[in-house]
Amino acid sequence: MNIIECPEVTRIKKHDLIPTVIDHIFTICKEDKNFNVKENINNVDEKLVFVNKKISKQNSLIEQSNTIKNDLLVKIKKLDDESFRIKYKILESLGSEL
Amino acid sequence: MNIIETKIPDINVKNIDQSKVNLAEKIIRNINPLFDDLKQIKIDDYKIKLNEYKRIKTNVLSNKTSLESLFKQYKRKQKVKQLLERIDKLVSLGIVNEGQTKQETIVLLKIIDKLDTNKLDFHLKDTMTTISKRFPTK
Repeated sequence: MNIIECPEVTRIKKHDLIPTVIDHIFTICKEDKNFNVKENINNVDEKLVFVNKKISKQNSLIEQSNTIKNDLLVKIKKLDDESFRIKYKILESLGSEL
Repeated sequence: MNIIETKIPDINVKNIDQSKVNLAEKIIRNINPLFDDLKQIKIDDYKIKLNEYKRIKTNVLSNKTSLESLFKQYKRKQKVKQLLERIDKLVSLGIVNEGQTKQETIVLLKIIDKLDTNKLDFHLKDTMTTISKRFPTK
């Protein structure tokens, strides 16, 4: 087979068309039902989506638990302060001290 | 314009379909390893994510334990405060201002933070009984 090379066209094709051709090959192979690798990749993709959802859920739980933890620490500090004040007041009125 | 001579066989009407199949098979044969690489990259990514999930899950469990402990502490301190308020009421009513009761109350106040939940519940009930006797419900 003889190939007729047109310099102007060849220059453009070499730079622009090779990635496009490779993309097309990938796209066609990915969509081919007989191409078993596609199914395997899809399975891994599904697992990846699933684990990402779980990670997101666990991260949300950590965030919530941190908020609750900080809230509880503030409440405990407040209770400690109030209890100390009441205890001090009672002991003082009973003529004792801490 | 240049004419390049190649060793590619000429395509005619008879062999064109077979040529297409051969070309497709050749492409897929060459592309297959690339997809295998892609699959391996995704599997590696999945393993990394799975390890991350396990690490986060451990953190969640640790946070859960920590929260349970803090909540118990919070409930206990609520009881301590409630008991102190009742003792304060008894003192203001003049019920524990004399003799042995006064000494017992002072001791109770000094050890109140070290009392376990059962003891706190006992004293809460006891103080409530004393207050109820003073202000009986009609």
